[in-house]
Amino acid sequence: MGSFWTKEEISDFTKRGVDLSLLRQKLEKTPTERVLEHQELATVFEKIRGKAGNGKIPRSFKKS
Amino acid sequence: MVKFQEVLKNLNSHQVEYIIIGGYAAVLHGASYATNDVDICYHRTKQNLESIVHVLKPFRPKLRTIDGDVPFLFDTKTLLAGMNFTLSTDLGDIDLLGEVSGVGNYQNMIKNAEPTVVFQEKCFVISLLDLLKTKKAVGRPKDLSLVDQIEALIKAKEKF
Repeated sequence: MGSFWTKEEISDFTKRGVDLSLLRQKLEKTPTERVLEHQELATVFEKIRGKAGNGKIPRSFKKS
Repeated sequence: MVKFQEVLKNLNSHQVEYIIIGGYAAVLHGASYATNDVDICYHRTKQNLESIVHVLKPFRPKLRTIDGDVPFLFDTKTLLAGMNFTLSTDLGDIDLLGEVSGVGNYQNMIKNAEPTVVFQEKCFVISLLDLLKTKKAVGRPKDLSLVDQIEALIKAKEKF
């Protein structure tokens, strides 16, 4: 990750909860590839929401 | 889910002046973010409003409301009378924004916007710095969750 961020930046953003490995993967893709990847995920989320009905979180995803 | 490619294709087919902002802009810049709508900042000239109406009207835009359908006439007069519109269309949810918290209007944003090609369609995407300003200004939890990622992307892009 060194070429994208300095050691200090890696330490800072990691503490802030940013997944720099994921960001790096995205940066290496084209805008079209980024959108396609996003749409695949959005489809999965939509299916999950659809199963739960009206956008509610499925029971299996909730803490008991 | 919004048909993003179709939205761009239709807007470009009539030379609509717009900038992609919001969640899709974050995704285009490389952020990891889930969004179901496309947010667009539009230029508020009469000609552009006419083009927007011409392009989107066939997709039956309605206002997105909690209480269901409300009477809504999608024409140039309505766009002139309002500013920001959250629409549900046959292409999916599209937010048309004339002004955006933290950065203002189209003219303010276009100076720094990044020309991008996505799905072979040319478009402008709000700059990372302006996107950061909007997310900080809006300040909802889901916006603030993006702030750290945007700052990391800014740092990464400074090096190239």
